[in-house]
Amino acid sequence: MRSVLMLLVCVMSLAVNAKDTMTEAFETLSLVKQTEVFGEFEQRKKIKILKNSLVSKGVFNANNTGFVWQQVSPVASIIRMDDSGVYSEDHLGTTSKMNNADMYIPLLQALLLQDPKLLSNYLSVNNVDSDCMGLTAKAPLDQVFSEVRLCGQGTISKLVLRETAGHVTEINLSYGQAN
Amino acid sequence: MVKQTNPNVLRYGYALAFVLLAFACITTIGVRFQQGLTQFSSDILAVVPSAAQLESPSLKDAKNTIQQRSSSQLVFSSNNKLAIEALTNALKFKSTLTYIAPPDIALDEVVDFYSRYPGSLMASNYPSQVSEPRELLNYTLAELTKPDSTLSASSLENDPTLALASFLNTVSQIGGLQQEDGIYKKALNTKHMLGFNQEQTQSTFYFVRFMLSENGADFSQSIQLTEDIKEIIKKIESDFNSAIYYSGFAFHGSENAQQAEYEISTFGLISLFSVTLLVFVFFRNLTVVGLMFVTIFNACLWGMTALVMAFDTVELIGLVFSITLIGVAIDYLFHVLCAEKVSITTSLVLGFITTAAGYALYSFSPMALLQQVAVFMIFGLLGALMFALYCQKFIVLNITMPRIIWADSFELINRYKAKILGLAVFLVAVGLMLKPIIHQDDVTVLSGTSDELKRNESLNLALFGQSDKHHFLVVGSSMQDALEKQEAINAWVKTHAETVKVQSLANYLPSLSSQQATYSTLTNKVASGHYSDVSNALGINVSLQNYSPLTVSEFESSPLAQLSEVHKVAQNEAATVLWFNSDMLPKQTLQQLTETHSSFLYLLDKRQEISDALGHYRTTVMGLMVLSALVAMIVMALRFDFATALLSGLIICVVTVCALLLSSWLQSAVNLFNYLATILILALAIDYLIFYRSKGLCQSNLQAISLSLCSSCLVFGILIFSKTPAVFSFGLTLVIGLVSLYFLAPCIVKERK
Repeated sequence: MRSVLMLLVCVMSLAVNAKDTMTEAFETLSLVKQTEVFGEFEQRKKIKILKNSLVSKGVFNANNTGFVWQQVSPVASIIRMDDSGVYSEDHLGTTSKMNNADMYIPLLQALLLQDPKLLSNYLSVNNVDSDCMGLTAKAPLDQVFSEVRLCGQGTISKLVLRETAGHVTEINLSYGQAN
Repeated sequence: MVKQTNPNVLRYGYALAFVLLAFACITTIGVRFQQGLTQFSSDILAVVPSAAQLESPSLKDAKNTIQQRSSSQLVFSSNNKLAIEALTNALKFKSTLTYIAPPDIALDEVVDFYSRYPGSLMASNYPSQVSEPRELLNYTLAELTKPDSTLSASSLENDPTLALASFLNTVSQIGGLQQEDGIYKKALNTKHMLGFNQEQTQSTFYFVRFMLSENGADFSQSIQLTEDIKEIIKKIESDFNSAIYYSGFAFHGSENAQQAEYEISTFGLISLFSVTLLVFVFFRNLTVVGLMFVTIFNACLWGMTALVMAFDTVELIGLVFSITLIGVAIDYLFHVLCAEKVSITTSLVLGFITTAAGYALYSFSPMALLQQVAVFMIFGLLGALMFALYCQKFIVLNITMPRIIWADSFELINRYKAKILGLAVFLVAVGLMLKPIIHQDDVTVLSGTSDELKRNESLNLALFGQSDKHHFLVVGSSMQDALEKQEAINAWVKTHAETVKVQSLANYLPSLSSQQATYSTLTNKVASGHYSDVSNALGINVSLQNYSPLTVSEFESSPLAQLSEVHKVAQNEAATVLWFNSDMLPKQTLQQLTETHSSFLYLLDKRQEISDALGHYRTTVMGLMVLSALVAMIVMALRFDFATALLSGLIICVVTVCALLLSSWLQSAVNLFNYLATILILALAIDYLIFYRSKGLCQSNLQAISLSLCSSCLVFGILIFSKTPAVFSFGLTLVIGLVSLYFLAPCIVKERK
C-alpha cells in the first residue's frame, strides 16, 4: 500500500512539475542562452564493469560557430568542432576527423550554450524541479542515452548522462569570467 | 506472237501491290507492338554499349546488378518532414513502387553481435604495434574518457584490450545515415550546390527511397507513373508550401521520352507542312502533293516494318533522327517529276545504292541507335525508290515548273571551278589554322536533361553521401578471397591516400585470415605483459577468450545482413564480386590503384565509359568517312573517269571539313553526332554529284537538286531547335554541309568542248 501511495505521489509530482517546452523548463532554472562560454570541467565516468569511476579534467570553450573540449588529465586530448567538421587530437598530437561525432558534440555544444531551441533537436523535457531537469533523448540519441539530467541555477553546473548500456557520466562545470 | 500487257492493268496491278504491301506492313507493325515483341524505349544511355572488353560472366552479372539498382531507384527529398511523410504515404499505395525503409539497425544489437568475436576484430588504427605498457594505458584511458566513449565502455567486458572497441568505432563511423521516425535525415549546406539559392546555407533535409517494382516496365507505363508522381508532388508542394526534390533514372527516361515524342510530333509536322508548301508552290499541282504524301507514307511504312522486324526495342531518339527520311525520300520523286522519262532510271538506282551504302555504314556502329537509323533509312529509301520508279513508268502529269533563275550563276561556278575550289580549300585551311576543330565526347551530348532534374540529382546524391565517390568492383574466386583482396586494396589506399575513406564489406566482415592475424597479435601482446598497466589502473584482468572467428554465414544472419546484400553483387561457383566505393582519389593515385590491382579490381564509371565509347566511335566514324569517300571515288572513276573521281573527292573533302569547322566554331566543340551527319552529307553529295555529272546543268537537274536541297534544309534545319544536344549537332552540320555542297557540287559538271 505504501509503495502504491509513493508511486501516486511521484506521478502527481511529475504531472505538476512537468513543463511543456524546453524553454519553460529553462526559465524555471533561470538558464539563459549564452553566445559564448568557457571554463573548466571535471568528468566522472562510471563504467559498469569497473569498480571505480574514471576521472578526467580539462577546459572547454563554446560559441555559436565552434566548440573545443580539451582534456588535460589523465591523458591530454582535444575535440574541436567548427564549420568544416569535428576533429579529435590525441595525446601524441595525431589529428583525425570524427565522422560519427554529429550526435555527441553538437549536443554538448547546445548544453554548454544553454540553447533550448538547439537542445530540443536532441532532447525532450521529462521533469523539472527547483534545481534540475530530467530530459529524455530523442532518436537517434535514444539508442545511447536513457536519461540526461541538467542541474544548476542561472548556469548549468552539472550534467548527468545515463547510457542505455548502464554507464553513467557526471560532468561538473565551472565557468570563467568574461573579459 | 508476244502478247502485249495492257499498261492500265500493270498500273493498277502495281498500285494494288503497293496497297497490299502497305496493309501487310501495318499489320506486321501492329502485331509486333500488340504482342509485345517490339517495344519503345527511351533509355538513351542504354543504347551505348560498354567498352569493348572481355568480361567474365560474373563481372557482367555484377555490372547488371549495379545498373538495375541504380536505374530502378527513385529518391525524394524536402526540408519539410511533413511534406515527405505525406508523399511517402501517397506513394506507398502505388503497386508499381516499393518503399525502401531505412535499415533499422539498433546500435546495441550491433555491439552485442560483434561482442561474440572478441580477439578476432580490430581496426587498422588500433595501436597494435605499441608494446610500451604506459602507452597502451594512455590509449585505453583516452578511449574511455572521451565524450563518445559508449562503444569502448560497452565492449570493455568482452575485450579489455579495446581492439573490439576500435573495430566498433570504425564500423559506426562508416556510411551511417541519420534517421528520424523512419525517414532519412541529413543537414546539408546547399550554398555551393547547382541550382540552389547561393545565400541559403545549412538546411535539414528529409529523404526517402523507392524502387520501381518492375524494372524495365513498358515505357508508356513508366511515363504514366512518373507523371502521376509529379502530380502528387505538385499537390503536396502546394499543400505544405515546400519544395520536393525528386530524382531517379525513371524521371530522366520519362523526360527524354517526352522530349523525343514532342520533337517527333512537332518537327515531323512542321517539316511535313513546310515541305508540302514548298512542293505545292513549286509544282502548283495537288496530284504532286498527293504523290509526295504517298511517297513519304510508303517510305515510313517500309522503314518502320524493317525496324520492328529487326529490333525488339525501338529507340525513340532514333526515330527523331529518322524523320530526316522525309526530306531525303522525296528527292527521288523530285528527280522523276523534273526529268524526262527513262533517262533517269540509272541515275536514280545509282543514287539509291550510294545513299543506302552511306547509311549502311551506320550499321557498322556498335550503337543500337545508329543501327536502327540505318535500317529505317535503307528500307524507307527503298520504298521511296520503288514508288518513284512506279511514278516514272505509270504516272503522266502535265506540270510546268518555275525555272531556276540562278542557273547562270552555276554556269559561272563551273567555269571558274578551279579558282573557286582553290579559294574554298584556302579558306578552310586558314580557318583550320586559326581555330582548329575541337572535339568533345562527353556523355552529356546524348541527352538534354533539364536543369531542375540535374539539381535534384546532385542534391539527392549528396544527401545519400554518394556524390564525389569512386565505385569499384573487386573479383575473387570465393567470398574469402574477395574479402582478402578488398583488404589489400583498403591497405593500399590507407598507405597512398590516408584521408580517403573506403566503404567496403571488409570493414564490417574481415576475412578469416585477417581475423586469425588479429588474434595472434593480441594474444602475443597479452602474453608479453603489454597490458599490465591497463590491468593495474582499471582493476581488471586483461586477457583473451578462445579464438572464435566471425564467419560469412554468421554475418549473413546478423543484424547487419543487409550490408552483405548491398556489397555482394554477384556470386557463383567460380567467383564472388563485391562492390565498394571510396572518396575521390587524385587522378594519378586512382590510375596507380587500378593498375596495381588490375587483375581483380574494376573501376565503375558509366559516365566515363560512355564518353570513352563516344570518343572511340567518333574516331571510327572518321575512319569510315574517309573509307566511304574513297569508295565513292572508285565508283566515280569506274562510272565516269579518274578526273571526275579526284574532283568528287576534293568537293566532298572541302564540304565535310567546312561543315565540321563551322559546327565546331558555332557549338564550341564537335562530337560523334556531327561526324555522323557527315556520312549523310557524303551520301547526298554522291547523289548530287552523280546527277550533275550525268545530266549537267540542265534546268530539270537544277530544279530537282534545288528542290532536294530546300526540302532537306527544311527537315534538317528544324533539328537545330532540338533540346537534345546530339540531335542539334546532327542538324547543324547537315545544314552547313548541304548548303556548301549546293554551291560546290556544280564544279563536277564536265565542260563542253
